Amino acid sequence: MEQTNCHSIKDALINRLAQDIYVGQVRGQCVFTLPFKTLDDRFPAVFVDKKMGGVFLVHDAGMTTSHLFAQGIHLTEARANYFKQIASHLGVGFGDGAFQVLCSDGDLQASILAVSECIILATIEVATIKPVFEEEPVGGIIKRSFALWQQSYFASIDQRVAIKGRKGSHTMDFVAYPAREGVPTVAMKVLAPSYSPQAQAERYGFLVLDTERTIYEQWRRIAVITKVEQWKQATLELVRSLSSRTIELHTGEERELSHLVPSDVGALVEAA
Amino acid sequence: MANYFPHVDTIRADQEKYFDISIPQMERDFDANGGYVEYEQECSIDLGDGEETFVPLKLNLTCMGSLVESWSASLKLHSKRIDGIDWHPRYFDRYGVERNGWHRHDFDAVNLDDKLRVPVDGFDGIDSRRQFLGHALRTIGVVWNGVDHGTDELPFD
Repeated sequence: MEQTNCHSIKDALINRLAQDIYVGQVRGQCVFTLPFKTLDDRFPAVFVDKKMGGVFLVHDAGMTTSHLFAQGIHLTEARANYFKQIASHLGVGFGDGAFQVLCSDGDLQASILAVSECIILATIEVATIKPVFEEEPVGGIIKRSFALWQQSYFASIDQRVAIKGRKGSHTMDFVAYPAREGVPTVAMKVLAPSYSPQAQAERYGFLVLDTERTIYEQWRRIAVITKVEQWKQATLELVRSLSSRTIELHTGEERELSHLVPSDVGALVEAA
Repeated sequence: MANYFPHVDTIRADQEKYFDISIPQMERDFDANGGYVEYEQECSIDLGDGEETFVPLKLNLTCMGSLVESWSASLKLHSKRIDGIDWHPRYFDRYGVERNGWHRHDFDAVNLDDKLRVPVDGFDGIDSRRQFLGHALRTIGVVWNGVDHGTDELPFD
């Protein structure tokens, strides 16, 4: 290739890069985007925060880990170590969920480019995100099981029933109302560990204590505890002690509900 | 195993996707987990047949660091983001127009593409987690538990 062509290509490239470098200001900091794309289709955003003594903090404000998390890629210990390694190779640090480096005026451009490169490299895993099709939802199985097996015990089964305690409002996931005398009202609460088992158990405990000495005290309560392997024994004991029965399911056992619901509800009714 | 992707438009349009957690509890969870939380909920949604169907959804929230512009909220179905709010200093919206700032992620259920961005209002000026969570969740049609039972004053270990 002729020398003159190389220079003209370089000039055009410089022109293109200059046009595509965005700069703005956010809360007193400069923010730059370079004309490259991450695998999650973002222009990497690099923030420059001028500190005392002619020092600059160049960082990504944690946007990389935040945007990865939004897509389901969690900042595990292994991933954080990987990000630290990437950062280290490029003369940058990774801490508190952010790529960052302190630099002087003379190193500013190199630092902006290095942080930008970290951001791009950190999104490689986005290419591996695949849909995961879950088993049938627990609520759906319970609803179907109740519908198939209602026998002559219950007149109706309602979902998401709000009940008023002495101090607060609560929700039962399913309430089966009796069709005849001698059959109790049966309320079912699904407790999943997603919101932390301890918090779930405490809220359930508050529900039970708060509905004491109200009309709801007569209801039979079944707690359906999912992913039971994630619950501590003491937390499980608390729920058990406050329930007429518990249905406890390990991960992957959710389908068992289709026969556990009829058998446990049936046993409760027979015992009443 | 049900595939709810064909119902994404209905799921996104439903303005009452209920997550059984209060905003103060989300804030406590942020403090305990470094600013990131993920919640799972089987949301009861009418997918158009008049019946309520339980759809497994995940809500991913980040309020890490002091720059509100780095915070985000997203709703996931089958582990794919189908809705979400975040901020970019520069982006192209779904019609190819160059923009900057807060935007919502649309979803193409055929190509499973969540990179379709649409500008949203009301986020500029937000400076607290509570304000951000309230506005972001309302924008993506998530309803939260308005009652906060707290965890500190209950008589349990």
